[in-house]
Amino acid sequence: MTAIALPLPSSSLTVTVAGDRAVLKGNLDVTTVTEAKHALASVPKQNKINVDLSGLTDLDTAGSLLLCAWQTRGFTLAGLSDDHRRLVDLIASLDQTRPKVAARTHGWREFFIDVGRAGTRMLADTVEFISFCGKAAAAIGKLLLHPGSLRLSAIAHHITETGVKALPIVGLLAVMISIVLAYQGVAQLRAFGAQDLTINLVAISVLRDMAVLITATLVAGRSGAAFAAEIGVMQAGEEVDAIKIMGLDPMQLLVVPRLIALVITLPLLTFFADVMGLAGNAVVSQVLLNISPAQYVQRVRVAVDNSDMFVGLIKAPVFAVFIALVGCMHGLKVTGSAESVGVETTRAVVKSIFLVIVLDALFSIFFEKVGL
Amino acid sequence: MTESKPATTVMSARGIVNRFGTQTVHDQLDLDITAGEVLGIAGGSGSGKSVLLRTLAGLHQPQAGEVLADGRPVTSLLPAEKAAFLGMLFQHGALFTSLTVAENVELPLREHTQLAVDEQQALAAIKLALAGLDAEACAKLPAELSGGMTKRAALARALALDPRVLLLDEPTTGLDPSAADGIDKLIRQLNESLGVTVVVVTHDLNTLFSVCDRVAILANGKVIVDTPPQLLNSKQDGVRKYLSGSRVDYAKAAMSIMTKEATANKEKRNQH
Repeated sequence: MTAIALPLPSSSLTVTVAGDRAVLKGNLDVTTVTEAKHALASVPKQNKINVDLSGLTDLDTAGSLLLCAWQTRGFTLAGLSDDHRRLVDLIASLDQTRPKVAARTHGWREFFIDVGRAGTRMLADTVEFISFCGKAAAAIGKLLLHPGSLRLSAIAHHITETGVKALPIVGLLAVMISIVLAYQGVAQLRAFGAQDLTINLVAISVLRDMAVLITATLVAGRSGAAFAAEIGVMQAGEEVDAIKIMGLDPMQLLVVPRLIALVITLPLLTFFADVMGLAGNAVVSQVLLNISPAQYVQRVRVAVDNSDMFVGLIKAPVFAVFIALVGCMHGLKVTGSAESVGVETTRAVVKSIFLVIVLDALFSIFFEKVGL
Repeated sequence: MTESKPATTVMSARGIVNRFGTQTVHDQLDLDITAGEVLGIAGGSGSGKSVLLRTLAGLHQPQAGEVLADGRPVTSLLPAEKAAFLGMLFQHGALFTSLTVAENVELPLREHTQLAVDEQQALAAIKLALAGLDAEACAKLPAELSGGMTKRAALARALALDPRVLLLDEPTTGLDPSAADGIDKLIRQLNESLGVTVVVVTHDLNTLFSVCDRVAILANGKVIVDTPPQLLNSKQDGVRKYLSGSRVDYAKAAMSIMTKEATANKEKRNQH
């Protein structure tokens, strides 16, 4: 491989080969060693060369390595200074073989191995998550027995972090989503002259699904990641162990306040997203359909049932439980290194978004069956 | 020590000023590093040892003053020149976590030299063997190493390009006594066999007194440089403040025993 960065400042070496004698003058170091090697590479195997090194000014380990190789080939090294001799002897005494790394399996076998690994890991993860849920439930149960140990200030802090600070972005996204839906709706329904039904379409889908889904996804990315990273850093810095050694429970101290805070904030954020989504819909209706806000409110009142909002809001605390628990669980899974904080945070986000969407699908089927 | 060669200055700091907020850490600090020596840098916590080392390495830009490497400002060296001139051992090793130990050492060789791959590997293996790591350890990832082995691996990486100056940041901190002892011996051995100049920042009195030719003690923004025995007998305020207490007494006692042994050995050798 050739050098990618700037080459090293090169030093000068002159090599003269005449018959059985070679004379090296100058610096034999990492920049000139290749040159020296090539100069003597053409020498036939059986020839034993006498290398005169009395003109050598500088010698480094790379140069010594070459001299060692020449020595084993049977070359005579003459005129080495004492310092250089010592270095060559030292290098000759060291083990020059690189450790063998176990060969990796290649090709199609690797694919099946990976699939198998992913399968067993998924199973292990599921078992782990269920047991973590159990632990969290036990911690909540303990809390119900001793309500005095509820950490209100911690909960308030997490409500601010996960809820209040997320308001602007949640509101903005809700408006955007309702605009996207409205434009699609108008374009498709106009063909049937039913473009006014866009209002119903948007209002119902925002209230039932989009608001909560968007909010939960955002919170999973924002707060789920934050939970995993915060707890992960504490875990990496042995703070979690310090909590245990003091006779405190990391579940009580770290997990429960986050869980309670998120169960409170996610429904509120969802309600906020509902309002913003409907407001966005009102604006689009005015622009695209020429329906005034007063008429819009009238129409929404007719189109939307109380149950639509209920269906959306009831999902929020369930999502919140999963997001908080997945985030905290992965935070606690962090091992010593800073690298694993990153790995676990990524896993937490991917898993919680995945779970949110799967749960949403299950909810849709469930509500369909019970007729809501 | 290279008594045979005339003492040349390989690196020097001129009028270094480092201020953090209102706190002046270095105030017109001058320091000369002689080729082939092992120079210790010591001083109380917050006296700016590590900052001085980072300034020498060109990683930290001082408010005033400059660091000369072989007569040229260290900041003006090209990246490859700097890599060939100085190697640094960071306090926590700073080994790249995604590469094996051997690959860590091969990386600078791959980037900066035109050696064939097998030559790079052989050279890296030598550096690792010099640092006292066996083949088994070389195939491991940094996360699988113990503290002492991490320091050795990082030292091997710092040596990859045969730098003229080796900067070590607290090489024995956090190691058990025997591992720390091993590192001390290794520093001395590398200095003697490769002729590399070593600058070592440390709190470890053993390292200061048994490894270093000279010690620079940071006090009041300046350095006081002298040989360890001279410093131990020094009457200067900054030096006395740093070198006092029971630990220093132990170190002193240990050193006098060692010098006695050394002279005894010398006498034995002379008798032969």
